[in-house]
Amino acid sequence: MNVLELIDVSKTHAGSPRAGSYPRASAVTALHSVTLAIAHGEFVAITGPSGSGKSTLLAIAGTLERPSGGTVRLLGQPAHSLPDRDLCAIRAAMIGFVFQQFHLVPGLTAVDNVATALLYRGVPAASRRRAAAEVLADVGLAHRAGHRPAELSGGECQRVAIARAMVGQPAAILADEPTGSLDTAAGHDVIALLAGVNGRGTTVIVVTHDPDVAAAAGRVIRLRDGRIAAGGDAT
Amino acid sequence: MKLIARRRETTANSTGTTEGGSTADTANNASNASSAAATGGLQPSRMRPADVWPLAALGLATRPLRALLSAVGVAIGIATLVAVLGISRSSQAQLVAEIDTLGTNLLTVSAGSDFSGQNAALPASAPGMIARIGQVISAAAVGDVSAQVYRNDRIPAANTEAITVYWADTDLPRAVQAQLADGRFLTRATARYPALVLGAAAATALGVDRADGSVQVWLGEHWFSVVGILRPVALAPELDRTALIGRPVAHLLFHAGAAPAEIYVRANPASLAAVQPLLPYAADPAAPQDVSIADPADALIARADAASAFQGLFLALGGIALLVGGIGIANVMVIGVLERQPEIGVRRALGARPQHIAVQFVAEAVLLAAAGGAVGAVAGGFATFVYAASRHWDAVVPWPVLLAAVGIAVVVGALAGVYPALRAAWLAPAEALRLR
Repeated sequence: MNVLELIDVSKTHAGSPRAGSYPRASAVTALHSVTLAIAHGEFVAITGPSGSGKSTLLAIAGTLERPSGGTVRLLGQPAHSLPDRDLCAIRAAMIGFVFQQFHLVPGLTAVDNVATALLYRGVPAASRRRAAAEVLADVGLAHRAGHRPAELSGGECQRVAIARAMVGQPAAILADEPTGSLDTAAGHDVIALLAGVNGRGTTVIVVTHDPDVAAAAGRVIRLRDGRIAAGGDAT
Repeated sequence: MKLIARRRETTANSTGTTEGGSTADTANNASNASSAAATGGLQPSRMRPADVWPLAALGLATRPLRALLSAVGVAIGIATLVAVLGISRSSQAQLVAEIDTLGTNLLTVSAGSDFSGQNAALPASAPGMIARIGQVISAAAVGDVSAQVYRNDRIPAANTEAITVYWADTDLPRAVQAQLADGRFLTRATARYPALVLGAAAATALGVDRADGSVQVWLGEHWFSVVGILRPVALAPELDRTALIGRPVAHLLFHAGAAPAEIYVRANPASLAAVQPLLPYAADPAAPQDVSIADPADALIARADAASAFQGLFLALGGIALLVGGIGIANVMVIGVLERQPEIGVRRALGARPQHIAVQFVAEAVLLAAAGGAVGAVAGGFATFVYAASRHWDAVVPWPVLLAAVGIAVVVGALAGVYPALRAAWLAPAEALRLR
């Protein structure tokens, strides 16, 4: 079964009607009828130049954004037409996110940041922390569990963020430039971590500029001007 | 790296144990069944109520200085409300205590105006007639004496110091509950001789500080010995600036009439209402309509009412401070929402529904305002104690006022949090995460 299917998906960002933006932005089409399928257990890298629609594609795949047109099937669900409540449930239970800027909550320790991923599933606090501590140990940061993000290196922050994405046992992890803020060594750690997660059956979809990530991926989808230039079909 | 597969069971277990637990999402339960079917039996996202306050406290603890400053406005507003109510309650309690000790059973009878608008006069028989009413405990009269009092015979006649000279019945102190600062009141003996008792203000004006008989003052071309000085009389403050001499000596030296200017009547407290309508007929049976009756306790009660008139003004000021404090919290929260867009986006990505985000921000505002309100209530109570202590009152800070103050702060916080919370909840996740 496919984890993700996009059929003829397009996305147009409306021009900004807000005062103060001058010249007034006109409508921008980020994606033009994109069709692709990603199967269970794949490690897919989405690459392309800036403005090619990579991040928009990731947001639509992760149900953070609705397409302007087309069909999005996520784990068999029609994500383009489900109400927001169901999309939140899908995100809580089935998808993990990793971001370039880590986006850890500054006031929380590493273990509590990881535990936040289970907050919206109604898991009691003690169980959340227990599960978070285990995953934090899996990514090799057991000794940093009590540290806040400001006390961690960039590579450690991203590993905490990956642990946060993993702790809910998602079917897919979606990462947006996960190595974009890291040096080469820390980037390799992150790639190895994502490859390891993928090796245990979790689908990993990474938007990246980093050739090392692309090299680690099983398939590379290239975007150009909102269209798929290569790699759209499942192998 | 260690095995991750092992963890799959533990997390599944830990989520499984919570299914019976209560959730923050009580709405939409009816439609959950159909959507759960559509999403392959997925539980809708939910947040435990127990997680709401720790989450709110976290948001405030992350920016403690900002939280502190934005709570100050509410604290000031609440402190003002509590202090105003506390101080006015204390002042009223003080007045009530004063009235209680003095008794509210004193009535004054004086001559009113007659039909033609001229000042009427009470008949000389009035005090005796009033004393004959069964429930009257005592009745004492004072009357006009056409003389002025001076410190000595060399003071110019114009320097009267606004002191009135009255003759007074010897049982006047009992009727008005006057106490002597020094010396004794007039007795049947001293009332026949040139002796006088000074009211508190009159003694100060004349510079007389002892009443052992060694001091003489110049009254109507005669030397009078000061035999007593009164303390201020709360229920008859008009006596404070008088010089009181005996009725016989007034008649003898100044040909003063026996018609009383004022009669102080102390009646049985339980029968006060019954006694009051009888007084005009007893005082002046020929013209009861010309007799004026007053209840001096009314003046003290009016004083308490006057104090509470200002209370309204100060309460309004406290309310304005509270309003400004609430706007301050809303302002800070709006800025916080702008700054915390990534956090909001991450929470949405982790499955939070808009109402979870809204609840988080409203809870932060409520917590902030409640903390400010609690500090303000304590500060207002403290201010009440300090003010009451400086006035030698007993401080009265009613518990309901303190609880209501914190309750008002919570409401202000909730209202202040609504707009920022809605902005946070309506933020598009992709925009919050800069994925556009």
